[in-house]
Amino acid sequence: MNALLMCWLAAAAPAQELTWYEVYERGEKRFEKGEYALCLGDMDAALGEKPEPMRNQFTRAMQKIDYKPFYYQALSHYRLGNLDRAFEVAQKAFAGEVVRDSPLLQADLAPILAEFRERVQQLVQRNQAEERLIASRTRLLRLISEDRLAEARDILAAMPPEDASRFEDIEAALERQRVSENQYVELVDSMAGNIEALLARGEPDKARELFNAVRDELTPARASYLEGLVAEGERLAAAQASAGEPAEAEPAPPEEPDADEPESELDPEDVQRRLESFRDALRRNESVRMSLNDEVARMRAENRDLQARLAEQDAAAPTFSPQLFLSLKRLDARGLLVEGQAVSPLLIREWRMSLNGRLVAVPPPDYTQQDFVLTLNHQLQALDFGRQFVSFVVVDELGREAKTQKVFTLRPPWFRRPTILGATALIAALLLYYWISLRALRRKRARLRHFNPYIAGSPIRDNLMFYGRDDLVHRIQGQVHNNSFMIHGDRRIGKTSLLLQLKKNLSGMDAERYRFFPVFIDLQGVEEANLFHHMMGELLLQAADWEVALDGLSYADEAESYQSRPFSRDLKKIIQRLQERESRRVMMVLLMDEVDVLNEFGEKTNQKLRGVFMKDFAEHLTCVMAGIHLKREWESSGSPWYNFFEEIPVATFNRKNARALIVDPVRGVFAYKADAVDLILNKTACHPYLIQKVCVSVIGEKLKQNRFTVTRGDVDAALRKLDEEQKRNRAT
Amino acid sequence: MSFIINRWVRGDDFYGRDELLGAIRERGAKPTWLLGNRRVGKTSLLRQIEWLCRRGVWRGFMAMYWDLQGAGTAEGLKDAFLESLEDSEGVLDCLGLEIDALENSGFPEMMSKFRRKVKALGGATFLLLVDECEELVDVAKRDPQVLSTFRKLTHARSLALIMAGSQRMMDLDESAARTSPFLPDFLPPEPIGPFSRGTALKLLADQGAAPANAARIYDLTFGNPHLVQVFGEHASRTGSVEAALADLRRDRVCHYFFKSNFQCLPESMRGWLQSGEALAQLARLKPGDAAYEHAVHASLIRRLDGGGVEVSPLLRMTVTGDLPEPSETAPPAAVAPQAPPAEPQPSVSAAPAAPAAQSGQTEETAAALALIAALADRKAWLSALEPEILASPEPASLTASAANPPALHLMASLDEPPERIHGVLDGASPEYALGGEADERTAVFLAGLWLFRRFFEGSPFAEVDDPWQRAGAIGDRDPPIRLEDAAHPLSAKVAMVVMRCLKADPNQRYKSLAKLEEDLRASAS
Repeated sequence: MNALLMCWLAAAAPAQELTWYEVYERGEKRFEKGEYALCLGDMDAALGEKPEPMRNQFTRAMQKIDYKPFYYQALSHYRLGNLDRAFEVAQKAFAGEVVRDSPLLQADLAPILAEFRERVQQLVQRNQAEERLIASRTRLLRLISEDRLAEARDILAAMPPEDASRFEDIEAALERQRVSENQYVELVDSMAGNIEALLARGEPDKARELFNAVRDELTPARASYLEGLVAEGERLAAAQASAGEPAEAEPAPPEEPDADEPESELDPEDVQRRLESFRDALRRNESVRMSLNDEVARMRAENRDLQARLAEQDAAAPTFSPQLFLSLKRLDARGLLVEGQAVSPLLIREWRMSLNGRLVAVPPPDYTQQDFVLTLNHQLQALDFGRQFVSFVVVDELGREAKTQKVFTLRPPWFRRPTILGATALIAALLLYYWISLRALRRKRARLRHFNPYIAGSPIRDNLMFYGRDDLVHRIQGQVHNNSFMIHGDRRIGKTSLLLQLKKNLSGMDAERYRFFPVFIDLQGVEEANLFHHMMGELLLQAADWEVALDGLSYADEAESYQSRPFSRDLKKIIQRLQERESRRVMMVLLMDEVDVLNEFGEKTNQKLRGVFMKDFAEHLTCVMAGIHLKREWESSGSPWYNFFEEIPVATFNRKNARALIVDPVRGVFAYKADAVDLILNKTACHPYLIQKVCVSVIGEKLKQNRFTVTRGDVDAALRKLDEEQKRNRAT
Repeated sequence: MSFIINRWVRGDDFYGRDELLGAIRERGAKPTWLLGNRRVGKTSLLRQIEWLCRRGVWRGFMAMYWDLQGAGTAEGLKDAFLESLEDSEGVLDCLGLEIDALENSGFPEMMSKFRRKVKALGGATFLLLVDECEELVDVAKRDPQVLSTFRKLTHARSLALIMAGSQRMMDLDESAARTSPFLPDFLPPEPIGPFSRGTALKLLADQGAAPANAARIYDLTFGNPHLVQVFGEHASRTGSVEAALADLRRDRVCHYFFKSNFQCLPESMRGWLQSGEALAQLARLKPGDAAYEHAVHASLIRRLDGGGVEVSPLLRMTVTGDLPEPSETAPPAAVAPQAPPAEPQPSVSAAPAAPAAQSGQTEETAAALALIAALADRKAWLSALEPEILASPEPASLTASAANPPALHLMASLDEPPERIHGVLDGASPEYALGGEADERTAVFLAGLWLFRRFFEGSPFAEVDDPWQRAGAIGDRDPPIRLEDAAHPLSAKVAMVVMRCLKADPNQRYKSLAKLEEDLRASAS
């Protein structure tokens, strides 16, 4: 039972058939081995499953191949000597995208096209020569049939010797005709002589009988002449008969008989015999003529056959009209990319392209005769959306024209569609309404809360109000692990704000190799003796946020004894403790503000401070100092303090950043007129503190007025007000 | 890419100096003086020696770094030594020293204890790496006997004193010491100079510099470690060597570098920079001159293949303000030894050379004409000249990037000291003083103001102490111009031109810069 079931399952299972790509790959291998006939079979089988040559076709295990069966077929036919078939398939290969896009594959197929072209050209030349001969024969036969034999003979005499063999039959027919005609002329001349002889002998009746028998065969002139002689003979005979006078004394014969001509004795039998003989000759002559006509008819029939054969040959010859391929792609809204190829074994003399029936100027495509392939790559711009008809025409050297046309529908972009336009307008209206409502709400809130975001005086701690120093911040943050900095600049230029911003950024910075612990230390008002004590005090205050043990330090309330040595000792301990719990390198960044006080301290104190950064643990220590300037006069023999830092000047804002500082903080609530902004920039020279000072005044006034657009007049008024305040301050 | 510009380095960050390190190691317990100028890498070299000993790379050696800076007195030296002991990992334990016990000793006793402990190490050589030894110059003035303590250190068999310091060490006055002098034990010093070309190029390449840029940086810096890194950082930030040069000319890094370095040269050379003779004097140096090697080690000159010397292009830029030529077209900045001495260079100026004065024109007139052209080329009119422009003999190049100061009453709210407001008023026009708008006539005033400064070495109404009263005077009155007050010869014609420029009422000045230029040319010819 089980065995039966197995047999049934085996029978029911589908036959193990090869997939298209397996057959194709086998064909490829056979081609490589030179088994072209087998390759052709495999490619046919593959084409049965997958008729279109295409690139990047998935086979097994996500492998991809370029599927090009026609290519292999064309080459196989070619190598098997079947050029016609090779060319036919090569054309199909060129139509496929694989060969179309590959100059290398096209080069492989080029010999087929070249050989085929040569053959076609030979065929064309041969046919043209044949047609020329047939035309000549036809003309000769027409002349012969019209009895224009002399013309026919002249033409034949002028024929080139190499063509003479093709006209031997006509020449022979003409020769026979010439002989027959000569015989006839001789015969007629003989008959005319006989008639004249009969008349001379006074036998006009016999002469008349003979003349009547041959009249139809005589030329009209000769016939007229002889008839005149015969009539004259008859008249003379009648006159002799009526006058009874001997006829021999009467008029002489019109011509003396030829002395050489033997005197003929014409008796009626002889005349009758001669007449019969003449009639026979006439019949023979007619027969010759008839046979010549038959021959001409036969030759004409042969000509027709030849022409028919030629036509058949033409019909049987493979097509060699140019093959065209055209594809259209959309470039942009109305732009079309036209890519095309024309494959022709003959020279392409002309090409044209039209869009919707209008000829388009096409620059000379990429084409050389040796390539057989004319490649077109052109961009068209449609006038409107909708269906676009693109046609491409090429004409080869034989005047054969090939044309192809493609249609492409250019749909309008989605945003041009009426529904979308309507929806967009609606959304825009809603957004506008929302924006107006939101602005009104913001303004209401601003009025109620006395919204004035500018900060003139205090350092900026809010990220949103920190403007214009991004480059500086990035530069310092990018190097602070390796270098210490001294930032210096005028009063209220924003140095403290910069340090605070650095503190915030470095605290939260997730650097790959470093963990920063920034400490902000304000040195304003610090006594020289208290310097290190103050610094450690500030450090410990902020270290409370670091969750690090601060026990066992030398720091105590007595500032006098707390100098650089205990400071270094404590700093080292704190850094060590921080490092113990960190995998990244700990970097303590001392952000020291108002360092101008150091200028008032002795050089030894400065050197002691510098010495802290020379310690072993200084690999974990760096600093950013801020001040108006650092003293450069140095009396000590040791290294000066000031060469320890990379100095960075902090200047006023550039106009772009200054403009942002004016406009951005109140965006959505207050709007500045452009000339108002320019006036602020000019009067404050882009100094951030002064900008904010003016803006505080301007916005304060606008809030009082419950107006939200800042004009140049508002700024002018604020500047005047500040000037007045300044004058009052000076006065007091 | 991250250059280390100001911090000392060791380990992977340390470059070059292999020969010097080998020599120091070879010397064993002999005293060594590492003689080098500022920013040449003395501290880093000492730290590297310490690192090599600590890591066991230098077997049989133990090292401790001792920084003398700021010590000031023998007590300060003791404090610094204790700091170093606390700072040095393992040295305290190894030597068996106790800080508390040392705290109660004087400096000589402490160092004696230290010597005894080092002697007890047995076999190992202790390298005491003393940095900022110039401090001894100051200490020895107050306490000459401290040098004998140091001298004793040089006699210990297993203790090598390696001290780093500049030529300033030669100022050490040992005349008051009761013992033999200390410094001769260290002679001759081991000079520490610029990086070799290979080391400098490797450092720059490791930081991502292109080979061509690295070579150019080396040729401009002569391999000074600090300048190489400063230049490298600027070049990486600005994107090109030429932009970095312009950047360095603007800020004062090179100025401070050369200023502090000249201070560490022998006494005879220290004044060269300040007196403006530096370029000419350096160009005259020849191998064998006493100053020659100092200048080479300080990266001030380098020897040329042909036998001449090339003066540092950066020093030249610092002194003259002229940017070095781009490398392809750069003529060698060399001066052959037999070349006649160059004239002393003018003091630091960031301005490029003004157009050469034509016949009949003074330098002032030529510079003023260039200033007029520069003022006319600006997009926005200036209402005041910055102090740097006012002081510059060739102000045209600074004018394009100049900006107006804030309004005077706003400046006052910056709590600026009166001197600073006076500094602004020195270059202020009446329009600025009165808070008005600047126009072309304001530019005419500013050109006249610069000429006034050149001829009279002062500014209008500078004698008025109160800045507000002075501002009022600038706005209301024409400054008096008398030929007899001029500090430099001034023709009456030019004085008339200046007088017309400086009219307080804009309508009484030249209506245009073109008219001013025309009159100035006419008056100068």
